[in-house]
Amino acid sequence: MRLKIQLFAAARELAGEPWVELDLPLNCSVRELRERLAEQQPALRRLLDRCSVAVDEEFADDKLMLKADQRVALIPPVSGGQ
Amino acid sequence: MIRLQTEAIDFAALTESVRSPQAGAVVLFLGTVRELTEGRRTAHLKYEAYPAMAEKKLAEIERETRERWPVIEMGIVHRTGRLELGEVSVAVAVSCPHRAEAFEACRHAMDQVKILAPIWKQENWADGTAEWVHPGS
Repeated sequence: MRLKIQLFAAARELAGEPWVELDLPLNCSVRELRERLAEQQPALRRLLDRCSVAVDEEFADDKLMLKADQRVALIPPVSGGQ
Repeated sequence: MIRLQTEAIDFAALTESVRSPQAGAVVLFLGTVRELTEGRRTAHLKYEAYPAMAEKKLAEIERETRERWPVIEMGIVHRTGRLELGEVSVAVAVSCPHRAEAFEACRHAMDQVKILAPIWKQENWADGTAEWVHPGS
């Protein structure tokens, strides 16, 4: 299946575009999506480990299985602040 | 009440919107654009959000805060886009029967915004460089 992943902030700038498309096997987990993304977008690797993945606007566990036509986004760490 | 907006935040109107005859306390928190961070001078900030998810998370924060404190009314407004020094980037207003719970509820909601809402800050330094604030690097 083909999934579009939305990127924000530094992730968007490192990839040079606000969306990346990935070809993924059916029954693909969020963990595998992370691996494919790192392969296809080496510039994202450094930030990727610190990012969350959102599926349908909800933080997703690495074990979650993805389905076609879900909304997937990479969520870099938010500013936190004091 | 939850909102993301590019226009300046009318925090007087937000405060007024949470006032109620049932409340004995109204607390307003404002996050504002600070000039100095560890000695470095900020020229301006940019905020970028994932709007659909940010609005969902802000609504969840409101719901969870209402479950834990006797909130009468509350509102969370966050700006996106470019902000100049001193401008208000985020406002949280809470009314409760008593002040201790109003302070706690407001602080809790604001802390959760900083943890859960997918809204990112880009420092645009006075020296012309810019960097996204992604803690943990």
